[in-house]
Amino acid sequence: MATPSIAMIPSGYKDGKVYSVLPNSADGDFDFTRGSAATRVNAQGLVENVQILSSELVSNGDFSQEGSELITNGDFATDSDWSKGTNWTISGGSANCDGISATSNLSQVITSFTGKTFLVEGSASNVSQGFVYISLGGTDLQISVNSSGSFKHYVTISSGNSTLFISARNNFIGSIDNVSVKEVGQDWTEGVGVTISGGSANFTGNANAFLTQSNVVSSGKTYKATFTVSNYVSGAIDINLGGSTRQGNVSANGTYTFYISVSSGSILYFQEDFSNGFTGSIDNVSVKETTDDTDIPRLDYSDGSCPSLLLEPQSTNLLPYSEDFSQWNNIDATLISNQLSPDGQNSAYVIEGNSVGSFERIDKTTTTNATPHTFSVFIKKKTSAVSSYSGIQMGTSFSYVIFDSYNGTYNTSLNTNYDSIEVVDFNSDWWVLKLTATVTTSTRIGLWGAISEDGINISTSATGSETFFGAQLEEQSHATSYIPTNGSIVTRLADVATNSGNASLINSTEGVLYAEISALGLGASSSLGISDGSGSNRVLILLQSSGDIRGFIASNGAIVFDETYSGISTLNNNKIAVSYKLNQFILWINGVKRFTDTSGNTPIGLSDLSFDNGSGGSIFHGKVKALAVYKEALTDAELQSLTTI
Amino acid sequence: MIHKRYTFTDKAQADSKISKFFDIDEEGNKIPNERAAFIYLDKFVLTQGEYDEEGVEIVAPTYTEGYALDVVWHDLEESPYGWKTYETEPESPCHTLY
Repeated sequence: MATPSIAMIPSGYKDGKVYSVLPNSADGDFDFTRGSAATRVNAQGLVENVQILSSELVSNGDFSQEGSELITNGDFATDSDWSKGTNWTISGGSANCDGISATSNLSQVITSFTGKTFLVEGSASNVSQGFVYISLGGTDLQISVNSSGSFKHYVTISSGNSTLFISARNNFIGSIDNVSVKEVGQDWTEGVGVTISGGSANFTGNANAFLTQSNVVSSGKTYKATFTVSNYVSGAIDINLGGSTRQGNVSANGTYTFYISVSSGSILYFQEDFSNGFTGSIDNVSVKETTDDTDIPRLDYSDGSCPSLLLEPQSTNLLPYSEDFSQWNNIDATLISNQLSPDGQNSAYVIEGNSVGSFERIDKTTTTNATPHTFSVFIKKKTSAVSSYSGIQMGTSFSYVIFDSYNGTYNTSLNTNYDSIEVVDFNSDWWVLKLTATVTTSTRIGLWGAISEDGINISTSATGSETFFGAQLEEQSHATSYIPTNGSIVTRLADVATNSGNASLINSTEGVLYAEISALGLGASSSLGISDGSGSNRVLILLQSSGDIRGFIASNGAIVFDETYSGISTLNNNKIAVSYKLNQFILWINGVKRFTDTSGNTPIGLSDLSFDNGSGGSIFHGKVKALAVYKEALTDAELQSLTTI
Repeated sequence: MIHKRYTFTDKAQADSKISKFFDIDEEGNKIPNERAAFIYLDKFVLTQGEYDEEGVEIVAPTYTEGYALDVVWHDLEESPYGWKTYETEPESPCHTLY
């Protein structure tokens, strides 16, 4: 097989550039512009702003991580590992105290733990007299257990007594079992007045309280920091990256985002706001490196582990609150916020409809043109068969979509059918539902947590809930990548990749243009190809608005090859090659020679490889897995091999 | 790159202004002759309407006047000739670039 002179397989990029694999020089690289941020599906399967440059930099940001078990033989399976005072015995799978002496200790030495936080758990049974006094870290944990049942306490050790004492007091009679000590709040350092427990960092109002994590950020970079405040009582909290400038003054429950440029230092620092104290909890702490560059190409992993270069048209999300459903019109629905969302944050909402006799929903009405629009929304998968079905509607004149979030199936009820309904299996946790229709000048989007009991008919008797995220209404005949909004409608501008190659890399007398591509939707044509920078001389591959694939060659202003194949869908990934040579023009698609023309001259002066029709029109919108230019017309065997799926 | 808001009388006037930035090739494709993104916004709701259970309008919403258009001029530092007159700076833009 010949080697291409230009080969682009989506891998390397930077702001304003898509790098080609071949040639080794920069001559094959594409200039790239967009002018705005955009989202993609990253390699982890999460929706992500392409301006996010790093993975998560905070360890244990949800404060849920538990360390390994520090107690040996906590279930008292054997009579070992514990130091037993008089009156304690280990037998029958528990430690038992007979109550003969007023006090007696059961203890175990664990590793040194100054400055760390631990979860201490266990259970008591058959308690008939006295109590046990449990201590860890000297005075840091001192709890009494005087009745049967489980106990669970968090403790931050200020100094290092490394022994767990279970001390029988007042002639304790009873048994202790399932003793466990695990470190929690790993990677964090808590100052005075801060405890990590119950999956959050809890500030208790101390004027000098702080919470830190080391080695999170680097100087000279910009970061997006988010955290959630809950259980707010009083005061305010600040976030500080690098240690020099604090931001925030947060004094209410909610999720907060800050963009912070770091001039020095590496620490993540939460502190109460200027000695005013802060009483409340911090959770879901996230810090990621970010940039304000707006011409960053998108390598999209929504099709699997092999990325595509995603090239989309300009589009506007017409819903001003795509995530904060509390801002929508609420008709008796119950909303539960802070649910794990497809972007790895906690931005999804549960919509509950629990009253028999009414349709509880949220809705948002927006002005629209009477043109094709597409509504898309993420719906969380249920893990077992449903007994109620959620509802989605775009435009009051269109059908209610009754959705089964376990199977990813739907039925429609009443009113007018949509032009199309599509359910995409986004990942193991989420579906994406897409509705397309030509709407009127006012479009209401409605979401019901429960709209049907049988999955076929809508009913006010239906009760239940559904989790939604990322509502998007756009004036398109297909859904594009997610555009987050929070208070205004938001536009993502079009991706444009042009200007690869030169006359030395592209042969005008013979060659092959090859692409592995798919369309985003039907309704608009897309082109890519090699040209002389005008419409006079060019070799194009077109994904037609009808869903067909077209090969096109013009020489000195005359069309010498123009064939359209309609046997397959452009929405699928297709491998397409157009081969050109004097009196030999061939279109190959997916391993099959589709058309041949044995008459005509070749183009003149080919020098440019771009994602358009050569003169800047019919810009390509779709997904690109590979693009290549060969300087010689390949053999049939080579073209078959190259294009076989 | 600049991002500007313009308010025209109606969509036809906006289209007329925009058309000068495109050529039409022999296949009918619109070929831009200026690097710009035109974002048709039309009117914004000033006060929300009220709707019944079935979405039928009870109280009509009120809207901003004129036809709003946002433009991102990739290579310009100020509005092109003939556009400055239509520049507006609403207190609440209601639309942003991602």
